[in-house]
Amino acid sequence: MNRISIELSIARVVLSLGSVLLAAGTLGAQSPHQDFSGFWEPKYTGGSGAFSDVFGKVDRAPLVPGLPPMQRPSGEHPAYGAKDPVDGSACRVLAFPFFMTSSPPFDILQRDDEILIVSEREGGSRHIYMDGRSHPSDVEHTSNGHSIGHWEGDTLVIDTVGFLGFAGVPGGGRRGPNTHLVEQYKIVDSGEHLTVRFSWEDPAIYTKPHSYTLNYYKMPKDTYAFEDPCDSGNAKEYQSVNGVSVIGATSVYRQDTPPAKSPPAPAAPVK
Amino acid sequence: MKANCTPRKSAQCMALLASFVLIFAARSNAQSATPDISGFWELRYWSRNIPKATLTPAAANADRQAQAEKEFHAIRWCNHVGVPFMMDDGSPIDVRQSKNEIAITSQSNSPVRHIYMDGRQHPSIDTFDPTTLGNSIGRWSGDTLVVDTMGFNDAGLNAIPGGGVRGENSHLIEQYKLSGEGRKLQVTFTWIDDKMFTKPHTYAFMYEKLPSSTTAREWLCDPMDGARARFLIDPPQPPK
Repeated sequence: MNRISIELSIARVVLSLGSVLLAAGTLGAQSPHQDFSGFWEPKYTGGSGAFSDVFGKVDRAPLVPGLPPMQRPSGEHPAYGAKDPVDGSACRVLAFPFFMTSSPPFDILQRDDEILIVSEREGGSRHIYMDGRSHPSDVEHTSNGHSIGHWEGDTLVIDTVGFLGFAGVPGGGRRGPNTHLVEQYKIVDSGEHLTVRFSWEDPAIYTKPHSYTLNYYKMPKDTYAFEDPCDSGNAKEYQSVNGVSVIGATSVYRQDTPPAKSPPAPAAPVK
Repeated sequence: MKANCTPRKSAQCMALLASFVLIFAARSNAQSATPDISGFWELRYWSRNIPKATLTPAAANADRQAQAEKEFHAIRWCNHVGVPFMMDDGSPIDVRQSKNEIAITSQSNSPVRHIYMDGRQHPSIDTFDPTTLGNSIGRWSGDTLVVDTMGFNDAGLNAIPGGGVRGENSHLIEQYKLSGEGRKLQVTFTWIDDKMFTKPHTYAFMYEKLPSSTTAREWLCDPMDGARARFLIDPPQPPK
């Protein structure tokens, strides 16, 4: 190869690189993946709070025989782990996956390195790390768990571990500290609908993976988030948790002790 | 200038053309790109530049005891803290910037801040229910993100650094700008409220960036946590 040919080859490479850069800049450096950004809501045709539209389509969870009923105090059961403050009462955090079936919409912010799924309900936001990291070996157990994601074609696959114990799952299922969730997100109908396939795995809870699909509807572009305030210090409906008054300075102390049959006497004032 | 590209000089001509394309592409990208302020950011002990606010007489004479009791209630019962407290709650904030929206999450008991970047206006104040975070819209002015927020209520922890409180008459303008090769983020807050301040009240924070491997933590505020309630309610005792 003579000198002119080498210069010609280098020039062609530089020209191609410049064209690619120019195209990328012109297109605003668009991601090659499906865009899930925006507000999505489950729709309940039966009216507010009519969850039959969602739960009616979910098969019963294949529970391991002998599991205690979910509503019963079960902090000692190995499938649940320690009870956590995510039961929704008294303004406690509503445990995942509740907000994925609750009527308020959730907002998805999509980046190449991370996807945020933001709920209006108590329970914060889900961080889906897309930067190739793995789950930490010493994962901190949280209501939303630790989530990593990747793309399989036009499907977003999210893998989540590290849940806090004891929370309900549609179909009569539940999740515990060792539960593993795989979700598959896919946009259909020209972007108007989002389908999410949930698959829960936990040998201590399920005899086989508990899977179901939920559908969400795209909301208008000018949708904005509401705030869902909750004040257990004021609302009458939160004045009793498990039959125990929680109003006042002293009654909450009994959360560390077994429920009393009768209300305890107020603590003596500090002298 | 007329190009003189003979076949003999074709390689040099193509290289010249390629250089022009490369330079133009680079400039085009640089012009279209906006800074990316995404990441975990935390304040340091030197990070607050907060002048004293100039309050109106009515605001200066407000019932401080009532405000203190209101704040205690918000903390005791895990109310949403809201803006501006969530921007300085003692733990890092997480900023995530996408094409149409920027989210700011804190580890205190607050919903996520949504800053809409799609060119929309604020919703009508006649239909918007005021919140602790308000309604935020943003735009880029050069390399500075300008966020305009209104639609506040006075719930949660509404004290404003330097003096005054957030309420339904509050209007907040924030300016976000990177410095230090992207390792620092300065946020300048300006509160406008003619019932609270005699002139706009401006102060600034400078955040430091945390490693990209930082993981979001989940902060559960449990009003039924006995140990927490006991700590908040009982006066600390000296050694016996």
